[in-house]
Amino acid sequence: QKKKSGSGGAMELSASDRYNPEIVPSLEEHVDRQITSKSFDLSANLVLLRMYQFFPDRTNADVLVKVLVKALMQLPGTDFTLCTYLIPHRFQLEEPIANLLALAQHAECMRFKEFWEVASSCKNLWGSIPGFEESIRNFALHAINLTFSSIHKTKLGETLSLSGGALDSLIKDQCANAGWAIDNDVVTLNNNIKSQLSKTKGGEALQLSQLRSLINT
Amino acid sequence: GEMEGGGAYEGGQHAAVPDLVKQFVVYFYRHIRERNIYEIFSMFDSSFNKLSERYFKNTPWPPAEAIAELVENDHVFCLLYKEMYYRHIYAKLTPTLNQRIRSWETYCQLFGILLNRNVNMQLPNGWLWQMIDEFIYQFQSFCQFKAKLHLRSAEEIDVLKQCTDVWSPLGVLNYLQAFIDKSDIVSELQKDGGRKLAETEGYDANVGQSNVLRVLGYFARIGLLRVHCLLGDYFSGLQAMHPMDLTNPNGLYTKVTLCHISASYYTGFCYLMMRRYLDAVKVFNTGLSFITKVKQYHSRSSGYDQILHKMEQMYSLLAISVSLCPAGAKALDESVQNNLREKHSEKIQKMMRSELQVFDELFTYACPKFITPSAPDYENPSVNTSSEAYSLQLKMFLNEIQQQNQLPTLKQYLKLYTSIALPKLADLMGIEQGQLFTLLMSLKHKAYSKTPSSEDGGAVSSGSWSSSWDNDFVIDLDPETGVETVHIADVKVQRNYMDYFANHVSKFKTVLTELWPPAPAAPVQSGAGW
Repeated sequence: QKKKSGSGGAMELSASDRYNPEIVPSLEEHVDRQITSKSFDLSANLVLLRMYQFFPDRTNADVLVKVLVKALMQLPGTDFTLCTYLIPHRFQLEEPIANLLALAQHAECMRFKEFWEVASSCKNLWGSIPGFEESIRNFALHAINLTFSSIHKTKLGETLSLSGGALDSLIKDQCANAGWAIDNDVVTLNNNIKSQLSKTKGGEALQLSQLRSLINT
Repeated sequence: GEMEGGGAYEGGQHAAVPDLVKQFVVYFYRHIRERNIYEIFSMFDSSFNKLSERYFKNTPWPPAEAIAELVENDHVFCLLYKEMYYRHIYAKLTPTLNQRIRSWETYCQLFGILLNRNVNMQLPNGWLWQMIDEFIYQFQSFCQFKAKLHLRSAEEIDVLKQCTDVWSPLGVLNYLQAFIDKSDIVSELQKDGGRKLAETEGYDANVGQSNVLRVLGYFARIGLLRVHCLLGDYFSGLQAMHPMDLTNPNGLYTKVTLCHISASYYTGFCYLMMRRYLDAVKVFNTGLSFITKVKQYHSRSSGYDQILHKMEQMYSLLAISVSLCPAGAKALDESVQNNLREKHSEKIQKMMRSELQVFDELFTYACPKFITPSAPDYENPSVNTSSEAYSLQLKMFLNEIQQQNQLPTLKQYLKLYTSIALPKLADLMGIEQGQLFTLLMSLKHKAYSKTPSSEDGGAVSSGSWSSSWDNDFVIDLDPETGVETVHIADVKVQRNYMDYFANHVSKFKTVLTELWPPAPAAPVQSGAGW
């Protein structure tokens, strides 16, 4: 039975392990390993959640919270939603799961201000998980990069929940590594969305595949 | 054995078995021994149903003990017979708790033999697919039966409490996985992409070789896909199918119609729930095109109703997918697009205006029969938990829709402009500027999903990010005023006349062919089993 944890943090589960409740303790340990190694193994975590789904009495609420917080950190990936599909409704209505659901809701709707408000009120859930704030900020940056070609510094700070020195050093970082530029209050991102916009789509060149259907009949 | 039926035909070892039924059993046994695939399937599908209609409309078939001596008490044949016996009960009658338990035991015995002994049998693929299909159907049915505690008698509840292994979710999953492991089907698929399997349709002409384990292993993967879907685990469902490629038009799954349809339906549903709308559209399109082509060959088959039902469900799911990802409509075949328009154009319009009720209606009609895998609360037998699982999935689905519900309006506004200042757009939409910011970022975020890349065989967890929306925009700061301005791509829609002409040229060719038909071609041989 292969149960080693690879360098990428993925746990190799033999096929029969996936449906073997004896494996729950090692899956729970694996969650802690993912926290320390800053990785996320969706496949193994789903096996764990499945066992909790089959045997609700064996659900370890602390581990469940850890899995969900880590899943939230995978945004823009849909990992959090995929995990939540397996959690019985009655658990979702109570804290702490309800808190995490609220956080996910705000994040998915890009309501970062509200997100950080709720997050600060339940720091006990995510405080001990390294990289939480960083991951959410990266998600916000990802969204900003998709949407803006230039942005006001204050707007940037609002979305990232950063201000003053912390904001300045992030901008400096991005300028050095991601090609951003800052002039007074205006941050210019390094993406070429604007130039892509003027390209026209669709063409009149015939594709061979289109002709093929004619030739073959 | 216990009395398991009533009515015109009395169960029990000594009641008279009708002569035609005796004949059926004898010939069926002989064909199985002689590996005559076509005859086996014809008897399994056609003769069995005709006899059921005639003699066993409201009663079970004779129990295996009553016909065992006709087939030299062949243990394996009796198990196969029992499988059909229970399938008939589930289809035409209402199975009792006892019958459900016995059926589970039959599968355990049958699967035990198929997994651990070398059986010298070839069975039609259509039957093997239905074995897996029926196994999962009965599992689903048992979960519902258990969940409806308020309908169960006190004795039934006692029995249920004791038989924790019967139809247990882990048991079912482990059997499916066992078939996959024992048949080593995954390495075979990884080696040649399933080419050899498709060519031979799994049959092995060599004496002493059997197709049963290998083909069951193949079908069990689609079985796993379905079970994971029923449990709400869409990621694992897709993982179970890997590396099976549903765009491969020659895979073995295409030879068995119901299998193909099932695979398309469940795969598409997984993509839908994973927010990969474009992938969902493509899979539904392939499945529905296939049904359009083969429907006519199955109009007399016993599975015709099932085919039509799944088809309607897929059109409903396709309508949802296209509403959430209009760019996907371009990927549809013409026939599928026309049918979709005919059936659902009004509903699609409503969904694009974010009418939640329509999403609810279509989802409820088209979704799989979700199950709650955990044991029911025996202390509260008056509570009916049978729709708990469905309610949760529906709630989460509608939540996702609601998160996106202002986006269609925003998209419409963006179509009207090539550039517009944010404050002005916010004004037009009647919302706060802050809200507009979040909506614009939302629009980008929701349109982005991971599409599988072809390099690693489309593994579910990998793939690159791309937008499924074909109209792009960006927010820029106006250099003079510093006001945020939305710039929208000026997409020149190129009318593609090619498709239009190609369509009419081929239609004209068809007309010509009808007027001057070519010499008659060889008759079409459809594969053994659908």
